[in-house]
Formats: sequence, structure tokens, C-alpha cells
Amino acid sequence: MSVSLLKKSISVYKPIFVWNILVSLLASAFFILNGFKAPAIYSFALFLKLTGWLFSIAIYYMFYQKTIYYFKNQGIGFRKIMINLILYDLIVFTAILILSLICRDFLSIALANLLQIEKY
Amino acid sequence: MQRLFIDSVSKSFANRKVLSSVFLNCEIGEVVGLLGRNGSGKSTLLKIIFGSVKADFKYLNIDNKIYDKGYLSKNLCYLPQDNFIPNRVTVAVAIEAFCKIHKEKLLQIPFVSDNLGKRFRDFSGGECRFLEALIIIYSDADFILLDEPFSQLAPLLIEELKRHVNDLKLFKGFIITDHYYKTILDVSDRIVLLHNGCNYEINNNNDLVLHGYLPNLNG
Repeated sequence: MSVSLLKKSISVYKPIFVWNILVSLLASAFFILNGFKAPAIYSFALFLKLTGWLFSIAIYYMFYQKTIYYFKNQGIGFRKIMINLILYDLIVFTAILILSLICRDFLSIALANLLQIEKY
Repeated sequence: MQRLFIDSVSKSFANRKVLSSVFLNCEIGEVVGLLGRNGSGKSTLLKIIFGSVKADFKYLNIDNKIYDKGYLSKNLCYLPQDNFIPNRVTVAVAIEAFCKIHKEKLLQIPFVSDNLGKRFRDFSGGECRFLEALIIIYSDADFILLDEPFSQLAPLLIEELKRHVNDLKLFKGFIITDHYYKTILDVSDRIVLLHNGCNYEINNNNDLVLHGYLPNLNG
């Protein structure tokens, strides 16, 4: 895991990083609403994360393939960049989950109220 | 002696043999010009050396180490035909990423020092090409592969780029391919022609006519 590689890759692949954070927030919303005791829900949340990473690769191939030489000329391959991004994303995801666990009561009331407001 | 050496390169596309047992070498202090007709495999050969295209077979040796992909040596830079520096990156950031050893020399070029804060999207196509070529030429790598560096450039910029290649030749080995064959003949110490999937050493214009690269104007 390299911080300098993360900085370099975020400067180019910012949308991919933001996309992964949004997926992490969505996945953590499932945890908050249904708790950590419902295996079906957190399996689905983890499945969401996996799908999010697959979409990241798809976004890369659709929009960023031209940047391949920018990194390869620095001796960095696609696999190294993606593994680094995913590892840092895992840290962000874990941090979001820990935060949501600590503030679970507050967040679940806030989320439930938000959903009620949207319902009416 | 530091050198790049690739041997026994074979590559086919859909049953068409583009490269067959091709070999090429380049030493520090040398400019190798690579000529060939359209579709002769010049760019493919450079991409195979760099490692972005997989050959059917090859033997690549850089500074007495064998590599599967040249870029993994971190001692090889490649200027592709299309723009490769992302649009939102500034000139200063790109220089910081690629040029640490020869940074001071690069910053002495007025066009570079005057535009350090600009992003690549703010330049015209030709300016972008010129800047990218300069960044690759002044990069920290010992071996530089340039794929059509003179295309899109005005004659004045072509002359300037040639001068920079000659200046950096002391520290680096260059392999250059382009369709501006006169420019390639001017800047190169040695010419290699790719024809019918094989490589030929070229000594004069008659050799280029003999191998069907230039038309025979004498009938």
C-alpha cells in the first residue's frame, strides 16, 4: 500500500474513488437500518461492495484507458493501481462501518425519519 | 555497457504475421531510427518492447536483466501516438512525476517554464504533443521509445525537438519511428527498416529504395 500512489491515482481517477465511497455509504446504510445481526442484509451489503469494485474496473476501461501510459511510464501497471485503490477503499469502508456502529442509534433514527419524510 | 536488446520477436494478428524473428538493440548515446511502411509493425514493436502488447515470442534484455514487460524495469519511457497525459494534470505535476534528474534543463525551455501552471486541456493538439515529447525525452529513464514524435508539429518545433534529442543523447538511448523519414535520417545514428516482418540495417537512400520503402524515381 502506497500513499504516493494513492495521491497520484486519485488525481486522475477521482470519479472512481468517489463512486466507491458512495457505494460504501449505501452499504453502511443497510447495516444501520437492519443492524449487524441480520446476515442476509450484510451479505447483500458486501455483495454491493464487490459489485462496486467491478463497476470501478468497468469505468476505468470505458473512460480512462487512455491514461494507461501515464502510469506505465512511471513503472506502475493497472493491477497495482486497482489493488491499491481497493485496499484504501476497504479502509474507508471499515471506517464508515465503525463510525456507523458507534453512532448507530442516532443514525438509525435519523435515517428512519428521513425515509418517513420521503414516504409522505 | 548499458543497452536495450530485443530478439526473436514474433507477432501475428489474425493469421497475419506482422513481425517474424525481429531483433533490435540500442545503447546509451545512440539514436536508432525505425522506418517502415504503414502496417509494417513499427508501433507494435515499440509496444512489445514497452510491454503494452504481448508478443507471440520475444527475448527482452535491459541492462543485462531479462524482462517480460519493459516498463517494469522503470528505466524505459514510451511516447505513444495519442496523448497520454490526462487532461486535468498540470505541466508542473507531469514534470514532477517524470523528470527529476533533468528537470533543471527542461525548465530552461521558455515554452515549458512559461506554462507550468497550465493543464494539458488548455493546450492545442500540437502544443500537447510537443510538451509530452519533451517530458518523455527529459524523463529519468535511460531508454526512450518515441512513436511518431514529429506528427502534428510545425517545422520549427520539429527542429527544436531534434535538438533536444541530440542534447540528451549523451545520457540516453533513443528508438524513434516516424513517417517524416528525412527527419529520422537526420536525427538517427543508425537506421533499421521493418519490411515483410523482418528488420534490415539501412546505410543509404538506395537501401530504402531496394527494400521498397521509397519509390524508385529512376525507373
